[in-house]
Amino acid sequence: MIGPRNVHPDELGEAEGIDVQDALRVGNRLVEAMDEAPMPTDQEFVDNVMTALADEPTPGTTGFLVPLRRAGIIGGFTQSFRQAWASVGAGRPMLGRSAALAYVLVVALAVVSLTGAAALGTAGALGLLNATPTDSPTPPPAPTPAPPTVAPSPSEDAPAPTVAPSPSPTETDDETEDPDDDNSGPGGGGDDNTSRPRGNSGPGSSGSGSDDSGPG
Amino acid sequence: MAAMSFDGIPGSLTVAEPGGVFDDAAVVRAVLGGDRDAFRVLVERESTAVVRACYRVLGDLHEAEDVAQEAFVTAYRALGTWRADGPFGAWLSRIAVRLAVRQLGRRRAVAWLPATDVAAPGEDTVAPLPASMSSQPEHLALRAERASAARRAVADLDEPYREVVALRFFAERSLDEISIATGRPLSTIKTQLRRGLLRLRDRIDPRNLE
Repeated sequence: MIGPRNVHPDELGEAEGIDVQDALRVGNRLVEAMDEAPMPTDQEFVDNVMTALADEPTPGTTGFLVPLRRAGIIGGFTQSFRQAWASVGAGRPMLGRSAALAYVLVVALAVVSLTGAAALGTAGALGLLNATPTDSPTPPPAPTPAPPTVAPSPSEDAPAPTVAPSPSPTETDDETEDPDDDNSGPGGGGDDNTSRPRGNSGPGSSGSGSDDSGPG
Repeated sequence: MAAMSFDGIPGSLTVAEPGGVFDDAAVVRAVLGGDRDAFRVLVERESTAVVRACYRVLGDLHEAEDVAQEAFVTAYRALGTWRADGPFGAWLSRIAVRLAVRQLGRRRAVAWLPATDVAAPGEDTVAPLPASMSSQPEHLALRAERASAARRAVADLDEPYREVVALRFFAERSLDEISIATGRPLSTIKTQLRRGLLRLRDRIDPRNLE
């Protein structure tokens, strides 16, 4: 620091002539214009600066590692991570920001990995991961579908009214009123063994009808 | 100034030289080592110069203190990039002048009064006052007006002339310090200073207007 000192020709390089004289004159005018009373700063300004720096992380490219060196990995980790996170923000050298960002990402990756490993370990300890195949293959006991296997299809009952001769419309009205007569007609003429189950399980037959259809 | 030691730093540290001048590099090493309070030494030593440089750019003390504080915070964040090949104050002054000029640009985006409007044509706005008149209120006001015209003229310069002129006259740094702080050769700094002053000729020395 040189203080308010007039310009010396040596400060203007190797130029000569009127340019040097003009530059000297302008420079000395500037010195005179800036000649004001001294400006002492008080302790309050210093305190304000130090207060503004209180939340700042340790400067330097790897300044966020300083808490680790001072307090150990366990004791200084939280402060170190906090400083690294603060260093990622704007207003800092790019190299320091990059290093801090890499540090934060590595820590985040490690935390995610450890959390995942801990979750898997806990699940394994609780037996949630040991799902053996002996439980799932056991089929539930199948219901005994004895009647459905022999159940007649509706197509077998349907032909009964169609095949039956209907000489007059009046007779068809009688058929609808008493379906048991249909079963006793063409369907019940042959086999007695087959006619009984049909009457029990068939959707269109009633219980009383099936008993009657057998002998007929 | 008493010697100041910093505990807890490997291999350190008493940063006061026999003459009482603090070793900038030692203080910075202490700060980088985690001793935040060591930075107070630099703030106490440089605050007056930094605030004055900002005031010379801005012309407003409160605004200058705000910008100076911002300069200290910026310097603290970037402390690891200081190469310790020159005075810490020169490096800090460069940061402060840059921030002050930027702040001036923001302010001028709101309201701008050209320097040529302040004075009548042909009037030397930065001419020195007679010593007998320098304590009178009206002449103090005139001096302040001339200082304002000078700072506006410097602020209107293009880079890199503005930076060199501001560091030389506002921050009162030597050309050697400016050369180290900016990383440019000393001969280049001299040339830029001369050309910057010549560009101010029409704004500051009306005798060259014709």
